[in-house]
Amino acid sequence: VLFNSYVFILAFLPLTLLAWWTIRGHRARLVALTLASYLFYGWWDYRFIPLMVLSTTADYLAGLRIHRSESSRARKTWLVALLVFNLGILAIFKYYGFFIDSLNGLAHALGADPSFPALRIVLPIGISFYTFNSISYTIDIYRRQLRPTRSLLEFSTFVALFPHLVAGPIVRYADMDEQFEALPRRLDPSFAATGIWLIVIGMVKKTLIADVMAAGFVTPLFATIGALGFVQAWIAALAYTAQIYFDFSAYSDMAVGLALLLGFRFPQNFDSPYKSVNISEFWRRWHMSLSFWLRDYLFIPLGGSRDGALRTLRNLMITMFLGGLWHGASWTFAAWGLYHGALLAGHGVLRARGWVPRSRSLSTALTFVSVVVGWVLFRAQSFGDATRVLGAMSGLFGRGALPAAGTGALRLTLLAGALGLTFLAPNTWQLSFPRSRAAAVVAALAMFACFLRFAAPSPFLYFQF
Amino acid sequence: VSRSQHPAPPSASNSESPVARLPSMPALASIDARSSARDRAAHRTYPVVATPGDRSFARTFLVAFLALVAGVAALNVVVDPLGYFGVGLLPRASWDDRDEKAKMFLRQQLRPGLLLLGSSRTMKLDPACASALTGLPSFNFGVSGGRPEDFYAIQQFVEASAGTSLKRIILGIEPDILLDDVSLGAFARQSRYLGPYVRADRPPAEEIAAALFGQGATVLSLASLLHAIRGGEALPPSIRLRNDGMLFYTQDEEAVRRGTFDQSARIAAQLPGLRQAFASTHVLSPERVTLLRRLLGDARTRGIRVDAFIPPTHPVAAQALHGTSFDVRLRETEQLLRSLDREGLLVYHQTIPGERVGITPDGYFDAYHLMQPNANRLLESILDGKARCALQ
Repeated sequence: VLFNSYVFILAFLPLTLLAWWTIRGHRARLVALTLASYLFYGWWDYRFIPLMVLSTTADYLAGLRIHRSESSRARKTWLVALLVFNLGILAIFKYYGFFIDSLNGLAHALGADPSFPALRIVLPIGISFYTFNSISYTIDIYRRQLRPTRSLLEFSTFVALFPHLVAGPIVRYADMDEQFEALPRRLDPSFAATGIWLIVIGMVKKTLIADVMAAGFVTPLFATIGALGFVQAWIAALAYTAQIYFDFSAYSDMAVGLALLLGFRFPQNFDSPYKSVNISEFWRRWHMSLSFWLRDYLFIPLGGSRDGALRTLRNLMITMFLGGLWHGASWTFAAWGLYHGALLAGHGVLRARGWVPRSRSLSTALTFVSVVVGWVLFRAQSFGDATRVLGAMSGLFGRGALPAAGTGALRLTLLAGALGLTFLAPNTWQLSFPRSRAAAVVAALAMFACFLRFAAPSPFLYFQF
Repeated sequence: VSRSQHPAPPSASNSESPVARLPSMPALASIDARSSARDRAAHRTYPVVATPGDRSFARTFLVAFLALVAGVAALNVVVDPLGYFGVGLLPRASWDDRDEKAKMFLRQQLRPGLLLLGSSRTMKLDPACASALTGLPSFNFGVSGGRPEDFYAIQQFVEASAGTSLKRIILGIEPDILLDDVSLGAFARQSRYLGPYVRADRPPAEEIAAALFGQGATVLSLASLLHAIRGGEALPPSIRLRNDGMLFYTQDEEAVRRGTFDQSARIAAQLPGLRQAFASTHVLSPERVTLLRRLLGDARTRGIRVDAFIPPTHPVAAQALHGTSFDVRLRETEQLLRSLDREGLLVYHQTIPGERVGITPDGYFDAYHLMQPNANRLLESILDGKARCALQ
């Protein structure tokens, strides 16, 4: 179910909240919430529910075995087995076709006649997110940073919890275990008011900004890549920069708001990333839950920055390469990851030598442009498309026409306004939401304006990852 | 005892992204696994602040939002601008060419021998020309977004109102109208005249929800309300219908006459939407193909000859759509028409690419819609006309 759909707002959410806050008994409430979350997931395709149940059960059991084992060898064996299982599922469902296509392409390039079977497997929505949630649980237990839960039900609720299930934030069990232990019995009005505001803000970001950017610029311009000149290419790239931020941060805002309506707290996922003065800061502000996950469960286990510059560079590039590939089974995502790896490495070197701009505005602008260039790789369907857009942004294909007056100018103003918000406005977590009755009416009107647009809902961009 | 051993206070060195520090910065060279897990930024949650107004805020929000939702649903049911609820207390402000043509047809009291059917791409086919070439009284009943269920309903409507005089149908079938992108009868059921003859699916819940709460339905309802209060013209000024159902794009045709019509800008503006429409894989709708077969079967039983063709696409648009699923759907449509031809259900006329029948690239209003000279050439080629249609 999409958050921005009639069935979610008018049926799923009210019924789930009603059940959650009226049912008595710890277990019964968790059962209700888990079933609701499975229904939320199965609404898209019920056939993948068993996969999530299997993954959940395996992680739960492995967590207990790792915790109980005294032998470090046994602990490691269980951990490796679990990682192979989780990453194997991800490899089959997300990357099998990609690997086979790449293999066939390579064989073809070498003059062989490839015949590796290419299965077209439907990508289970949210698999990347819930797999990472589960992996962090097992690794934290292995590191003795977390005691496993004894309740399969509690763990199932954690994995399936619908606000974060399909597009994050990537929540760690360590952040939730105490919350599950002491479930609130009644909805705190401050949680309700804050949750409502976050949902409304998220809905406005998604429906009235991100979707407008997509329909007005991104989709039409990226559909005619061959005709883009300098102006249109920059408009396309900037519009996508706005779209992906407002789309993804909208989902995170709504996820946090929905969690608050259930009495849970989720971690922050965005912190005004485009205000960053360097690329390292950008990654501490963009999709924070993934950034920190990659750092804690990939970069540091690889050796982090402990063993010299070359190894650090290697660890960094591996981390960012896999981070890129996590977003999608395509070489353009891998290239996007490597591009950011190179930016991070370059920034580290320059900073170590003191070669960084003194002007904060200049640093922010340079960081922003670097990120915009990266988004072209991220959005393009192929390297050919990305090269064509980047070429147009460099002026290789002429100046191109300015959007026509009237609607074109209006849309450009919207784009400028959207980007302006990312630089100048406080982010959702910095806002102080008014709680007057008048504010409630304004919030209801904003929500209603979004609600009218649910008739043609567009899925959130990060669903595909 | 907390079951987790963090979060603990952050250290200065551990809140960095992977490359935040390189080994050339000795003080920051080492990060170990445990310290990183204690990073506060990774676990920061929303700072919920309790205020005295929280409860009344939440209640007011809920009441206001539900009132708005109930209000818009009531408005859309009462006005029923999309024809889903069978109420429709007010005349629609939107121009519905199905209703306009139906009214026009009834006013003419015509007993047509030939019907021109199809989507908006057939609305420039000239009934006068068809009459001149066949000797049959003709009417253009092409409707925007026309699909097989429309054609079926139109045929039923025509026969119910004018008797069984039909001898021939000229039918434009392009891939777009055989897709499964909208439910069966979604457009035709909105017509007050054709609605009773529509073979419609029970609409899916999403469509009903859109008719109840959607922006499109709400805008139409409000416009209908204003229209009912103020009165006004039903037809948009850019369009005129002749008594025999032929369409004139008054403003565009005037611009063509003055030499100010910018065809390339019009096509360029259309291309993104067209590419997007065919970007994802659709299939030809089995229900629509079945309905088309039924229509053709009925026609054959009653001795009505059906001439079918695929309306041509501007070469620039065809080129831009190359590589999308458009090519595949076009081939499937052509195969379908050839197969129906072999079965004796229709006579298929190959009209694509347009150059084949003398259609010139400069004679399009946009990617799809033909100007009069091209429309005449198309009709002449289908009717194998020895005479030429006079330009209107």
